[in-house]
Amino acid sequence: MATKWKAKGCKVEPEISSVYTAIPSLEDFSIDGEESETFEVKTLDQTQYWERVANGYSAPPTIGVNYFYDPTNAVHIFLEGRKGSGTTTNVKVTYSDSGPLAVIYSCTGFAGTKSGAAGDAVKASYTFATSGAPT
Amino acid sequence: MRSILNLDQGCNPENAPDYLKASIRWRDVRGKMEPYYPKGTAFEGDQAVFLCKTGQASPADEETAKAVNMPPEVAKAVALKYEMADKGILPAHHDLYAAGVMVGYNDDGTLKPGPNWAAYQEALEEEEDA
Repeated sequence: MATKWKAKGCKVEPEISSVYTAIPSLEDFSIDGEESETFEVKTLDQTQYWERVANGYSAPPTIGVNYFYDPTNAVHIFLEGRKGSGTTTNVKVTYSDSGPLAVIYSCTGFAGTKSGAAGDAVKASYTFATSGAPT
Repeated sequence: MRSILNLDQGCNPENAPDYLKASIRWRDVRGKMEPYYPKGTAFEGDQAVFLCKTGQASPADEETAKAVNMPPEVAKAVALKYEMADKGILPAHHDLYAAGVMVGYNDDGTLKPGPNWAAYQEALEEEEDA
């Protein structure tokens, strides 16, 4: 039976000047959109089902993180700055268990939003658009 | 300017400056060798200041402390916040970690007791009895 890995203890770490640096106050993360691409084939001589054929490309994923935003926190400030610079940045996602497992993504796109609602903390949602295969 | 790393931190040797390359160590993580800077690694220049501001390092000289410009209690809080981020402590458990009630998570996701776990449990029981 496959082991279930808990989300508690996981971390997302952008590389800052060669040091992988954990994002503080992380609430959750997602890795979305990774898929092998196909094209449709419908021909006049086909039977009922048309085909999906692999086109030889795979879409790299987007990493999404949600965290409690602190405008004075140096790591949060770094992330804000990445939106304006677009500098390629490695991001390491570490899955925690009795022995952690990490995957590194090269990220070229950075976007984020911040929100504050009555009775709640200010929160940020941030996405890293990855490029190429993870390692 | 110099600062000293407070905890082991993963690194990318390809982007490491020359003076840090000798500091890099390797550890076996599930059969894959991963590079890291060990606790105590000394950083220089603007990066030394930045690492203090994130809470990953502490100033090693007056010049760095001045450049970081954080009162001691703020620096301590920032370092604690980073320590929790590095361990993946959820924001909902920050208070418990800071109070020494828990030090992390067990494999099943339950809290791993800290030095003040027993006192915390006692306080909870007294609250229930009241």
